[in-house]
Amino acid sequence: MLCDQTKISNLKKTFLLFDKLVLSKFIWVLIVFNFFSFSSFSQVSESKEDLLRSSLEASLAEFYQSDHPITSFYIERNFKPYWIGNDERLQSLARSISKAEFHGLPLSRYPLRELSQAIYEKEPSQRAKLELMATEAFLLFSQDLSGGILKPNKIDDNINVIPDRRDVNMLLGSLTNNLDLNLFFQELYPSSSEYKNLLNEFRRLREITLNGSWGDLVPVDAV
Amino acid sequence: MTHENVPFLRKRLSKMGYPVYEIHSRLFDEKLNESVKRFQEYHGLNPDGVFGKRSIEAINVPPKTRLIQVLVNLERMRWNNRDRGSEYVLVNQPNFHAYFKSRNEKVWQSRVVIGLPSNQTAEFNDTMTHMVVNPTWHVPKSIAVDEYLPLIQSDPNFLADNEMVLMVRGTDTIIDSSLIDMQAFTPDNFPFLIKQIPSNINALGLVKFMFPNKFSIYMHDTPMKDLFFKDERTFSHGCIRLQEPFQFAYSLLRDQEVEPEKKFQEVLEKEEETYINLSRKIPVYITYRTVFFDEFGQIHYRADVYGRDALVYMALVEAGVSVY
Repeated sequence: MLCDQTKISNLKKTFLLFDKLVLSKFIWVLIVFNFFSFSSFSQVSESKEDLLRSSLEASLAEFYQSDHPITSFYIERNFKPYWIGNDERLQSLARSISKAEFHGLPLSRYPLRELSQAIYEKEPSQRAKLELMATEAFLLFSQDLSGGILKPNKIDDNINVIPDRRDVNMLLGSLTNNLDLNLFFQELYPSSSEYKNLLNEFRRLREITLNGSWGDLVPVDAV
Repeated sequence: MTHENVPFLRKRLSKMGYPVYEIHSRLFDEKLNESVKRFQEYHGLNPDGVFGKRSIEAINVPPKTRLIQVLVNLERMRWNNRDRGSEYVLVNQPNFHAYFKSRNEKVWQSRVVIGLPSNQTAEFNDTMTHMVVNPTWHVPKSIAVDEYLPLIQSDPNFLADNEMVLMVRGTDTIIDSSLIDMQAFTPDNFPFLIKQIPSNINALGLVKFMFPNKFSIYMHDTPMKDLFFKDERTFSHGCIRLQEPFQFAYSLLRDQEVEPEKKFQEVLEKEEETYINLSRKIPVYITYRTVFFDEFGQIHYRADVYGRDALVYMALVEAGVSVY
């Protein structure tokens, strides 16, 4: 399965839509908050987690087929979020993705703004969507790093190369509690010294083009 | 030798990191000559120290264009993000060069000629299965009717002079072309196949290397050896011509013959078309890399001979990529 930006865009759209309703809902949330503030802390915490799980289940039903690998991933986890609620993990994902430009990958492909704000989000259905956005971003960035962002044979008939893109199920299977995300992403892009040298040349030429050039052209008549 | 353009050359080379001193000097001395040769080598030009049109074009490429080339080649490397194994053949089209690695060692390399821009060699991966010694060339219909039919019509000896025969399609029957009015044919109604029998002047030379693919592209020897001394070697109809085909054959046979060279020469001397199957399938990578590093870690740039860098860059920009 090939990841693309469509799901992230769809999730973003509904996320922004909800964003506009946040203010009007704020008063209602305050009333609810006051009502429940009489309950014990543990009960609130438990119900928050339950709310998030049921929101995640609802979002999955809204955005994915029942046999989609992401749905299966969350069913196996009993709808327990992987990213939301683990601020360090979420920030680690955002940090890794923010380095996309070092590889010549466009930041605009990934929901970085949403991910960096996710730790402040309290509304369960919003948090559920952010959870799915984070998973989609993880998959997309993983496939981009390992197999590129273009479909080569769509560019030109003579480019008949089929990239080895990482399998979505395999990628989701690697989302374990002790996953070192930084290391994981490092192992996805080409491991050859040539790729690393090319990254260095990319950085060097960027600096040259930003800070000047190679000076005057050599006149066209031969030396 | 002195020239008024030499200071421009010195300054530009110096800015690009080549060891050039006295940047205002008009003298083209030995030290400058060495830097020029190095520049030429790193940009796929014959390192003769003569700073002609192609060298000037290469040195005047702006850094932003080089940056875009690197960006495109980063994406290409991700497309081919796989372990090639310890034994494979690799052709880099813009470098007009091929090599064979066996047990992780480069055991053969050669200059190559690739397809004309109008008959581009495709990028793909496949596996080499066999070679054909003293091959017959079955002339593709497009070449037969577009290129050879007019020559046959203007010169009655063209077929004989080029060791070619006319055949009825689907049979082994050879037609005596002197009995046929060749002027009656047009590209639309030419009914025959043209075969070039094995010989020194066969377009495929004396050996071809097969990795059957949908593009009908293979590697082969050629009688047109002088083309290997050109800087830009896009002259074929898509197949890959090798400067050193015999050495390639020997290195391929090394793992299956006690005396590979002797075995090959024995088959060659029979002057009959002979298939030699390889004892193992060998991966073949027909690549297109305009920026790459040599074994010493030195970066090399090559011209975008088919314009594919431009196409890939346009697609990257459409996907949101920016170099800054």
